[in-house]
Amino acid sequence: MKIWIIMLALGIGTFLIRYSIIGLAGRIHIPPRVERAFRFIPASMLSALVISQLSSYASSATSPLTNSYYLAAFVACGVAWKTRNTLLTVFVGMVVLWVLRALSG
Amino acid sequence: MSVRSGNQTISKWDVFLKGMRAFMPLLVGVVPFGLITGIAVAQTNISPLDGTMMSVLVYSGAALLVALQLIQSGTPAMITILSALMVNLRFIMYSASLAPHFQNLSSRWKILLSYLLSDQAYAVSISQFEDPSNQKTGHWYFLGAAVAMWLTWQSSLFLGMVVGINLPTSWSLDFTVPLTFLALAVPTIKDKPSLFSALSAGLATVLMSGLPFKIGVVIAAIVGIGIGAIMDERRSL
Repeated sequence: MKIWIIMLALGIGTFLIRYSIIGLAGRIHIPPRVERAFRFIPASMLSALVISQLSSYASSATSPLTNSYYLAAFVACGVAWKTRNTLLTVFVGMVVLWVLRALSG
Repeated sequence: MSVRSGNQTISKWDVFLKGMRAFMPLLVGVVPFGLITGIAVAQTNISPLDGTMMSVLVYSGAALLVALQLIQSGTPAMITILSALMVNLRFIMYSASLAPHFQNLSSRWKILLSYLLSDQAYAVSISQFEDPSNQKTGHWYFLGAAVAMWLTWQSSLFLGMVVGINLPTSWSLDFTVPLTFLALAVPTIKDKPSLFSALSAGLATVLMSGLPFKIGVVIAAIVGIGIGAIMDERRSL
């Protein structure tokens, strides 16, 4: 099955990333410039993923400004910024979504 | 483990348990995140058993979730693998940081500890390694913390998946997937360069949303990394 082949490749890839420098016994030195650039991988990759995932909730029926999903994500973003709490962010985002949908009938 | 084999054995075991105990305060953060990730995984129509097998294979919640979501939306295998691996590239930094401390271990140890390497295990043990008196047993401490993390993660993920498949679809729980990533993305913004890195990656994603197979996500992330790095260089001048 295709999904298991992808998972196997991903499992091996994830392991190799973790093993990389450990396996080379520290013989390879990452240039400081590259290491500094690494710092930005989580911020940019995760942001790109969030935007890409949110775009699948776009609807031709409503404008982006009245899209319940976008508004819920916007509030959740504020919660994440203030609290840095994963669970609270997801919880508040879902509650806002449910409330907005209940209000719009 | 036999007590008769001497103090060496007992002390290794003690260090292992010490590592496990050091992980305990992190339970408060890991368990809810495992549950929420499990609920999100269940939204991609994966059974709890399959999900657990995948999670053992790909020991990374974020990478697993990215992959499952992209597979569900019909993204080609190569792009799926590339996107999910990008999320995990940060582990190279941990690998580099731990390499000197694992240098004298056997290959078997290195393979085991690499597989178990997580943000949490790293965070808990790195200060131990920096204390020279722990040099001989540091890897047992790491193993203890890493095994505790692994067990906690897999069981809370499984529980989340079981809960997730039983919740009604009218609750739109699929939306927990982007919310989870949002909750992961925001705390990575710590200063001006990382803020601009995130914003430019997000903007680039919108601009490239027309590109096929979600390749735009990978390109956008590279753009974001570049912008962040350039701003960082300028600042440090």
